[in-house]
Amino acid sequence: MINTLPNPVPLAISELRRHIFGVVIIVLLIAVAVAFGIAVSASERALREASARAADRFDIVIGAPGSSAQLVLTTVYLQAAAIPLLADDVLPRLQLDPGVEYAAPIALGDSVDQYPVVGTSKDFVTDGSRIRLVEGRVFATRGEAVIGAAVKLMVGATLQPMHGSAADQLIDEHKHSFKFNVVGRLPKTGTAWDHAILVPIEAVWGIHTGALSGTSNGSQAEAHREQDHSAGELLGPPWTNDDIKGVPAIVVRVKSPVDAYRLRAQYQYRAADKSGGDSGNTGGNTRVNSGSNTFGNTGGNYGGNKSSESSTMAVFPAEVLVELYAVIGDMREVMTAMSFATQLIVLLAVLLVIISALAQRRQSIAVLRAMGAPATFIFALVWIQGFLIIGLGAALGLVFGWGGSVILVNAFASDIGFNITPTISYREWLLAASAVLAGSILATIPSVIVWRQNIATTLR
Amino acid sequence: MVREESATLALQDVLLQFRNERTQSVDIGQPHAGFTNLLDHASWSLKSGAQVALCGPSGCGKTSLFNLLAGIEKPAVGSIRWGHIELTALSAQQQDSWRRVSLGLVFQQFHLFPYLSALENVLLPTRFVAFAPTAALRERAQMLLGRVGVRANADIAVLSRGEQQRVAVARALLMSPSVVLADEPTASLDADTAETVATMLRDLCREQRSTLIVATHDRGIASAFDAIYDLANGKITRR
Repeated sequence: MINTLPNPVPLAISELRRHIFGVVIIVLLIAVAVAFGIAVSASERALREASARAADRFDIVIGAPGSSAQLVLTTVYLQAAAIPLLADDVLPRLQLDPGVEYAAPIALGDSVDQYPVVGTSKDFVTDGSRIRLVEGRVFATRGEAVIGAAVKLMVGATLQPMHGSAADQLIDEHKHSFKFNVVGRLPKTGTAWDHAILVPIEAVWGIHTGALSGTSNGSQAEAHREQDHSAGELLGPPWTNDDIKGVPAIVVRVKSPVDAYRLRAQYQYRAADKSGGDSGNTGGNTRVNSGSNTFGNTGGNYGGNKSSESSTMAVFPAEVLVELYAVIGDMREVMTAMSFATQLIVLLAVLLVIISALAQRRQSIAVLRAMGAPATFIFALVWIQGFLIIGLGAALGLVFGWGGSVILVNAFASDIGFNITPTISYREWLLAASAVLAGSILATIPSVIVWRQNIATTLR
Repeated sequence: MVREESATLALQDVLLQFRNERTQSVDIGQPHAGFTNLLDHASWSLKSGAQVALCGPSGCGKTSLFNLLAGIEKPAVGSIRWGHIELTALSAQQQDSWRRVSLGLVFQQFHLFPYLSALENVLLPTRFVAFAPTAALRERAQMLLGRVGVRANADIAVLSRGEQQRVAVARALLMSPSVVLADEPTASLDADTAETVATMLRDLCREQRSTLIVATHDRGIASAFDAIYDLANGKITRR
């Protein structure tokens, strides 16, 4: 003999091949059970990381009192929702604050082929010169637009926004006659903003207040005249109170963390204090004006009623996300517990199948023992088979789980414009390893049963 | 000389009992009540290299006697000695080791492993204690398969019953055991094939001077052996 190490592997594999159909079914069962937990874990982490990345450039978001989560979802992730407009004095005051690098208005409500049209400032487009356009330049007049990396339009194209979004069933849908020329393209960020069309806030105000003949009901010739006229106008900032025709949200870049906390305190629910509102996390029922702007739906109230002068809500998107993650995290814990329970049930079922299959193998195992196979050889033979089945199932579960998380994440991410590739981290490896470990321990049960089998009784 | 010693059987005063399930609870309190004596203080001795047939009706205890001779089962009383080795005194591990090296077993139902080739089946016992068979054992396995007329890479599932039993014979003889026990090796074969397999088994055992005991109920097969023994009423007697 070459050495004294027994080798039951060839026999173990040959026996598994003999029952290949049953083995494949069991392996797939384990794989699905393991994949469930891995898909939940990997998807949750991928979404959390991507959403945190998307919020990086938003130091503070200021809006009218309401739901802080909704404000963040609307500004950071461009999720259409009705949020009230801010008072006209908020933006001019912010832009004069020495701690503010820039304060950019964010106004949604229109779309082009399902791409949201966002009214904002040049500072926001370039993130205060941090972002270089991959093509063209930033808009310089009301009639120009910059597109996100994923927008399927060319620089030089002309686009005509539609009021609301074609994807929304509840829209008051009609086409504006005002047209934009695409003059630049932003680099890819992997966020919802890759799908956005950024236009000067002044253009949005102009369209929605009628100054730029916002709808196709107006005369085409008049619209074209206004288009030509608007080309020469300078864009803000700075804006005065009179310039402001409605701002649903303001994104603030601060100069330092100290400024961030000061501004948050300064703009945090000042009117709500008077009305006894909460601290800004769940104030979704607070309606401070009758003319709320409905992002993506009915954004026609620019220039209408505003919130009272000091009614603002300031949020750190990262902080709001932490609260959202806590809820998602709880869900993940529940799902993970469910996946563990599923894995355990499947492993127990597999154990029962292996034990019942042993009854059919009793004689062949007794024959091996009669031929001189040590009890340890038999133990190893049965254990290896259990380990191979469970190990293969867990490995396949990792692959299935990753595939499942890609499908899950993409299904969810496409709604919010994310570009995410889930990865397998130590946590998922740990999940698969725990299944293998549990299986390895459970596999000792049939091995012990076989080990203790009486050869003579079986052979007689 | 060593081989001759180790292949000599001395079975003395062996008592082997079989628990009778139907009566075991009836005669509580009586000695051995509920048990049938398969071997009733039986004695048997064979010279090394003997080739004998063991006959007896079904259920008389032939398989149980083989289990005793193989060290798989222990008698209630008595001793079983192969040469200088007292089987009943060995530990379970020692008995395993003795069977691997000194014993070849042939079964009525062959007990081959269908997803292993003929060669892998013959080499299977080498896997019990080694990661891979040595070149010498591999060569011997191929030689034995050549002697029994089966291709080394033959798929067990497509072999005839006679060919399968011949592979089983080759497997039993791989380690050149001093003792070969064959329990009804021809019972599931047709007459011609049975004769061929029995002759092959006798010839190969004679060449390597192994003691061969074949349990059979086939008088024709039995008549070709050096001696015929009958197992009846717990005693072994020469016919």
